[in-house]
Amino acid sequence: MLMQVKDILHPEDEKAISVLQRLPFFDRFVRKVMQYGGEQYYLGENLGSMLLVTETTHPQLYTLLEEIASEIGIDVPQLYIYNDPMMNAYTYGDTEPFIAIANSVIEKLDTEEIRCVLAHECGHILCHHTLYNTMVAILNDVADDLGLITETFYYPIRLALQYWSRKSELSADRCAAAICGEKVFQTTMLKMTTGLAKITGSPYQLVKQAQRYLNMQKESAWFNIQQNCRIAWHSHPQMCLRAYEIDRWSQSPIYKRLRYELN
Amino acid sequence: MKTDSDLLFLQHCDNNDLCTLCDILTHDNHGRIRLTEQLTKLDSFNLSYPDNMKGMWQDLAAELQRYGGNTILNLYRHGRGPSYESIVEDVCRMMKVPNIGEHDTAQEMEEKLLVFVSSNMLGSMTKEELAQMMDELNIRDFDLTKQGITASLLLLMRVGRKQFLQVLNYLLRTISKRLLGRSVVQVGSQIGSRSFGAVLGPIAWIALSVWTIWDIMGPAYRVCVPAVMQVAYMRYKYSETSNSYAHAS
Repeated sequence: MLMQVKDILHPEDEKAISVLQRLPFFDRFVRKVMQYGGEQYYLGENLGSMLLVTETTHPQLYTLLEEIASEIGIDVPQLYIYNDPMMNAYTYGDTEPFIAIANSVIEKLDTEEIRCVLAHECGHILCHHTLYNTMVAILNDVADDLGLITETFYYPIRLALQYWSRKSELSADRCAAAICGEKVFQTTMLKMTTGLAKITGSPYQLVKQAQRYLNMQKESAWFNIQQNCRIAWHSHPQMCLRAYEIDRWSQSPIYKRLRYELN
Repeated sequence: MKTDSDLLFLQHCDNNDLCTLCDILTHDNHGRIRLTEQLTKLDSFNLSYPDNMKGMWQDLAAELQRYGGNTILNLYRHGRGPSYESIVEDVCRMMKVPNIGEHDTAQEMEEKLLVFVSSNMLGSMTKEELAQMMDELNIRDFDLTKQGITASLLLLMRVGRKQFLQVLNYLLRTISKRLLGRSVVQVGSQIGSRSFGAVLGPIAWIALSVWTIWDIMGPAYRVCVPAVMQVAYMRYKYSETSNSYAHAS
C-alpha cells in the first residue's frame, strides 16, 4: 500500500497549509509561476552547473531513488549532484520536480542515510510543499531584489511563511523516518548536524539535547522568547527538535503501521 | 481534565466512536484541521490515534470542555472549560430544543436533543430518502408526517433501542454537515449585524467590540454541536450495550 499524505503530515504543517489554501487562486497562481518561470529557470541552472544522475552514470543512487519513489507513490524525480562541502539537499518544482543533493552527502553518509535524505526530499514532493516554498522564493524576489513590496508589509508575511516552512520539514522528516526507520533518521541527523562522517556514541544524542532544550523552554519564559526570536527567520527547525519530533512520532501507531507496510 | 461524571463513560466506548469524536474535535466538515484545536500536539494523541483511542479519552473530554467554554472564562478556570452538563444545556438552548427542564440531567437533555435533531432531520428528508433509509434499516410502519416521525422516534427510543440506534447512526453521518453549515451562518450574521452599530460613536465602538470579541471567544458551537451529538449517541449506545450485558447475566 502506498503512503498517503495524511499519514505523514504534521498537524502544524497541516494547519499552515490549510491557511495558505484559503487564499483565493493562490495554488493556481503559484503553479503557473512555477510552470512558466521557476521550473524552467532551475532546469537551466541544474543542467548548466550540476550533474544529472542517471541509471548509467550512478546506477546505485538512481536505483535508490526509484525504490523510494515507488514506495511513496510518486513519479521518479530528476536527481542532480552539486558541489558543496556542507551536507544538504533540496527539492523544487511541482509539475516536474527535481532533487539536488550535495556531493558531501554522498561522500559522508552511508547508503541507508542517503536513502533517508532522498526520502525526506521525496516527502516534500508528496506533500506538494514545493508549491508553497515557491511562494517564499517569489516574495523574496519581489520584495528584496525588486523592492516592489515594502518591508513593513512583507516581513510579517515572510515570518509566517518561514514558520510554515519549519513545520513542513517535520512532515518530510516523518516520510524519511517511515521509509528508513527512525534509528537511521537519528544517525543521519547527527551527521548532518556535525558534518562528521562517523558518529560515536548513542544515535539519540540529539534527542537528549532536545529534552534539555525543551525543559529550559518550559522553565524560562525569557529563554523561550530568546529562542523564538533567534529562529524566527530560519527555514528549518532546530536539528535537536527534528530528532525529538521523530523520536516522539516513532511511538505512534501510524509510524508503526507504515513501517510494517513498507517493509 | 476537570473530573466530570457525565464524561467518565467515554473510557468504555468503542475505538471507532472515540475516533469519530476526535475527528470532530480536530477537523471541520470540509476535512480541514481546526486551527484552534489542541489535541494533535499532545503525546497522548501521538500514542493513541487512531488505534488506541481509549488511551486519550480524558484529553478528548478536556478538549470538548474547552471548546464548550468562553476562552476568557477558561483562563480563569486554569485553561479548563465548563462542566459537560452546562455545555449540553448551551447546545440545547442554541438549537432551541423544546422542553429542556431546569433540573434535567445531561443524559436527559442529550436524549431530547437526539430526538429533536433526528426528527428535524427526518422531517427535512424527501419521501424517497426516507423510504431508502427505512429500507436500509429494515424499519416498517413509520408514519411519515412530522408528528408521526417524532412520536415514532420517542417510541423507538423507549422500546426499540437497537432500532433507534440504527436510525441515529444513519442520521449522524449526514447531520453534522448540515448543523455545521447552519451554525456558521448564524454566528456570521450576528457579528455582521453588530457592525452596523459602529456608526454610533467611540463609546459604542468599544462596547460593540467587547461584545463581538466576547461572542467570538464564546463557546465554539461549530464544534460543540456535532461533538455533543456524537457524545449523546455514544452514551446511548453505551447504555444500550451495558443494559444488554446486564440482561444477559
